[in-house]
Amino acid sequence: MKKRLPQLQAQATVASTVPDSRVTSIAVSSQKGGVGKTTVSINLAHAFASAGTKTLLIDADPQGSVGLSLTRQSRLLTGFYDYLANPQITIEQLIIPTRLPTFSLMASGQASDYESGSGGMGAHLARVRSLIRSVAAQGFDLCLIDTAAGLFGVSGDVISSVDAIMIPQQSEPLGIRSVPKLLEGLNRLRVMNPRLSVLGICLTMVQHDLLESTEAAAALRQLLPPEMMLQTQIPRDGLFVRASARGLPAGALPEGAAAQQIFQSLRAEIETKLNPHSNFQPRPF
Amino acid sequence: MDPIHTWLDPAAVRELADRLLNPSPQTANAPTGMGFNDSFVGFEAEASAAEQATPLASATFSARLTSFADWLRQDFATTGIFILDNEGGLAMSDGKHESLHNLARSLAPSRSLTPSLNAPVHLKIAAKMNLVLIPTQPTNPRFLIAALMPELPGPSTFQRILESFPTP
Ligand SMILES: Nc1ncnc2c1ncn2[C@@H]1O[C@H](COP(=O)(O)OP(=O)(O)O)[C@@H](O)[C@H]1O
Ligand SMILES: [Mg+2]
Repeated sequence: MKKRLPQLQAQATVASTVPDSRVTSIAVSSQKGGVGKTTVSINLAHAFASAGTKTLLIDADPQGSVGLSLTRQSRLLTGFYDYLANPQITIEQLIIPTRLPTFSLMASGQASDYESGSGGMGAHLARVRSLIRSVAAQGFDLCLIDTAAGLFGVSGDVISSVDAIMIPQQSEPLGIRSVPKLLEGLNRLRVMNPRLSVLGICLTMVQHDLLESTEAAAALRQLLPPEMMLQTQIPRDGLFVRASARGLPAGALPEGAAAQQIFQSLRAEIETKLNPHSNFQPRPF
Repeated sequence: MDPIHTWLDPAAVRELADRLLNPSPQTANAPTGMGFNDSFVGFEAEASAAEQATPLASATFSARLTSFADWLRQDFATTGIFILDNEGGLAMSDGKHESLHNLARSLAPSRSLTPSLNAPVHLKIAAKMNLVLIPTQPTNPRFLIAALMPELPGPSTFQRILESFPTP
């Protein structure tokens, strides 16, 4: 059974010239680095893929580690930034299969002079959009993009091209100070991408045994409208570090059942947000 | 102890969040307006080719564009201006703010340039600096005026700017 993410299909039939090749693209982005973007991206992509969604995880962070985590030789692979730099490259050359048939990867690539930020905003917009169209044509249901920190440069172009964005946010008082700036930045980008759906902030590295961490989480939930916050929280757990050291999503480790459950709940939450009426409609296919 | 409310303005933050959660005004009331829709892929022209002023612009038209830019500078305190043609090529530039050229290209609608909106699309660049994008009347060929302005033009100013744009 081919399982599709059914949201936006009504619009897609109007907008798309290629019928039935709709992919849902989600950027995982934040102002700051080290907040858990890559960890969330890998594990969320794995959760979608495990649930039967044909998923492509793109590493769009030249300093990132999706590839480093999941494929040992990622630095040697042609990838996302090469695609931006070179119009000759086609997507077929970039897709790396994994052991899970529904789960594929794209490395960040070697075009090092395309470090995020260079070229200015909008420089790669057309190419990023062409990439997402190609991903759709390859039959993927979901394209998850792990971006470099910041909302400018290539990351800005990615956010200006995707259907939706989710924002990992470390659950600590200092980290949360960046939230107003983040919201401002997203409002600016929404001028370029008015259809951008904001899935919300996902609290990461939550430490239940640390008062500052739980307080910061509670305060942020109190401050922002509930729809701006994803319910699922990612706890701080050495498991995630161990998993990335072994090149695996945490859910794939023998002791990863709890982690898998957390990311399945995040996946379900996101699916519901993308299609609030999914429970009332027959699923396509 | 409240770790957040002591250093930020909760009402302002909530306002920003609400704006993000609500449908964007562009999608709500201008579906065919500025063209930031799915089919928009930006100007196809390669950046390098586009950086050279388009040879199609005649000398006299260039001169009129320059005086149009002078007028904008004087009457509206514009601190920077450049004009893109409908291929994304640079029809006129004061040589400043080149980093904004691609940004303007990315914002420019590819097929549905229309001046019918009450307010032009703009981006706040700094405290008193907005990048204001004004597509010219849908006569052929069409242009995009990109001006750095301290204030956003109101509907009447917007109309005046449109009407003052020289015809090629
Ligand atoms: N939930 C978590 N629990 C423990 N460590 C985590 C967790 N999430 C991320 N980390 C660790 O924190 C560091 C930064 O995470 P990463 O996902 O690479 O962030 P980003 O992509 O935003 O820079 C990494 O060393 C990662 O292993
Ligand atoms: Mg990362």
